[in-house]
Amino acid sequence: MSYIEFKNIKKSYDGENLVLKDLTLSIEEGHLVTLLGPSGCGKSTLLRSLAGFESLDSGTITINGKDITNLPPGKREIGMVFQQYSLFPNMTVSENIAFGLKMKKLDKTIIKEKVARMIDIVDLKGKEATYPKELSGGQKQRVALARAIVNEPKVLLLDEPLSAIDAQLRKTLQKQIRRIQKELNITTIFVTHDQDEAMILSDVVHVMNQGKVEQSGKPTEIYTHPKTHFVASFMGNYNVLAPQQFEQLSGMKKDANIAIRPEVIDSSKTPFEQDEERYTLAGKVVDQSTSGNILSYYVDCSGVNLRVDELYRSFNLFKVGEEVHLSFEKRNCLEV
Amino acid sequence: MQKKHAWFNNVLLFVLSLVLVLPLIATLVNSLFRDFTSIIPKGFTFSFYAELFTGENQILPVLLRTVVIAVIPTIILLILLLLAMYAIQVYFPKLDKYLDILSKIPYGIQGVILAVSILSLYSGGGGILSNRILLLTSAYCIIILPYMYQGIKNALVTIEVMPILEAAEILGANKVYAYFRIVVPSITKGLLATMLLSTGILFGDFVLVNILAGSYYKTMGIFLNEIRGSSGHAASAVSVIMFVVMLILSFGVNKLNKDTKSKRKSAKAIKTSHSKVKEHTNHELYRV
Repeated sequence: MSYIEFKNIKKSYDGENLVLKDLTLSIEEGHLVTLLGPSGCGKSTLLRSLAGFESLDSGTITINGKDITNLPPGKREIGMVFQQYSLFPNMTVSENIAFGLKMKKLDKTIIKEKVARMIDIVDLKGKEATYPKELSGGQKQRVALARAIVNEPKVLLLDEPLSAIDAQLRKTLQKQIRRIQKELNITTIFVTHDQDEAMILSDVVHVMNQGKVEQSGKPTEIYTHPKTHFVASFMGNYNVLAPQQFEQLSGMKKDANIAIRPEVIDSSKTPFEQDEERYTLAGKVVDQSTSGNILSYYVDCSGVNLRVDELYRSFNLFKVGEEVHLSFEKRNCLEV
Repeated sequence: MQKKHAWFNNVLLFVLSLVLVLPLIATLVNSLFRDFTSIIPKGFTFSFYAELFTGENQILPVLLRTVVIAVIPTIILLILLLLAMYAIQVYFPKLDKYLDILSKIPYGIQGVILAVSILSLYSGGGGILSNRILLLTSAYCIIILPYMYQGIKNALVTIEVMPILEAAEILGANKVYAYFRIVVPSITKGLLATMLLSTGILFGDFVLVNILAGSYYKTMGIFLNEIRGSSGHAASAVSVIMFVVMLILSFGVNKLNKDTKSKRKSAKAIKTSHSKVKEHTNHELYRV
């Protein structure tokens, strides 16, 4: 039996439009799972339902076999890190971290000891007596994390905790979150709309769309084998072709849409040799862009636009308007 | 270019300050000199002040009464509004706009009309509701409602109330506790400023107190009105004293606020340095 189970969850805010549509989901103990999806897909609502901030229209939530559907947030043994940090402005870092322990009426010596250890874990030594307004975004987020895990929760919830942090610091915090999660072995649910973040952090990714889970699996599995059109377009930058577009390119008839990853398409100035296992085509470069070490070409192949990604190893291989030959393996054409 | 602007700004600031301070200086001078009919005052004396503290008509009991009647309604309204705003924020957010409208109504009510209406409604009835001090306190609560409401609302806007309450709730606190333990202390500065403004408004009231409780409860407004007839210099001295009392109140509250914060901070710093435990390299959190 899974550690956390959502069964047939339905939730609407206006009584008509369902935000969560009969959603069923299982999460294993000790895993860090990501709820990934665009804004408005219901991922935060699902997280808030688990935390106890949203009441459900129907369905049940269990943690380790115990039904927590109607328990108040404080009784669920859940820790949560909020998007806006939500630190207590009138309390110092130590007081913020100690708040939950004080609510549990633990002995003062134990509280001091636990707070000191937490400060050590999240690397905030020297900031114990500092107020939140004197901290940077990253430090605030680490205090929020320490405050959430010091109570030794059964489940840790992270609601887009890094969305307000700059890219460089975000990478560092992603590593820290993963390290702490592994050290403490807390079952963690991370909500994000950033697929890179989901790929880096997760044991399992649940891609959500319009109140439902579209696909669940390991990050590489989701990336390399998207099962639906939505997952293919949301994960990475798949070229998703309608059946007639694909037929136009390859001459092959298909019933479903075909998804091709931009990085599996090889490009060359000279024609490729014919190969039974591969499709070969010719086209013209219509645009190009760079993102870090990736050079992307947008190639027009008989009226169908394809994105082709190359590692930026040399200066522009092709110029806009130049003719280009493309080739990709047939097995890399996924039906979605 | 910037220097030119800075110069202009300074002059503007100086002129504005002068306009604001000039009446105060004139009042002060008038209270310290026997003759202020020409530009240069003559006959320096403290006798107008001395008379207020030693003469038959003493100012101190009046001053005390005024402070009490100005502060108590402010505190009562603060508590009521904080509770109302808690209920609205947490349970009935849609009612916010109605409270907004209701709280602005007193702006449109003239003091005389309010006082006469209250008197005609309650004075003949007997019982606790016709008690003049209670009537005055309640009327004062109505008068300062717009200022207090707006001040508290502005202070609450500066922090994320609901996320903070939720964060506290998931850590095991109930919402009311979290509101008064976290939210309210976090907006102390705003609340104190609002209370000072309201206290200041009530401190100088004459109309309401005169109609509702004139002979029962003499405050600075009535005292000033009485003394105005006998001596303009003494009236100026009373005005200066009122101003100084408000100034002292403002400074006192500000200092209290700062002291509490810095004391708390240094106390926490000492506590943490005492409680620092040895380095734990293995982070055995769950063994505690």
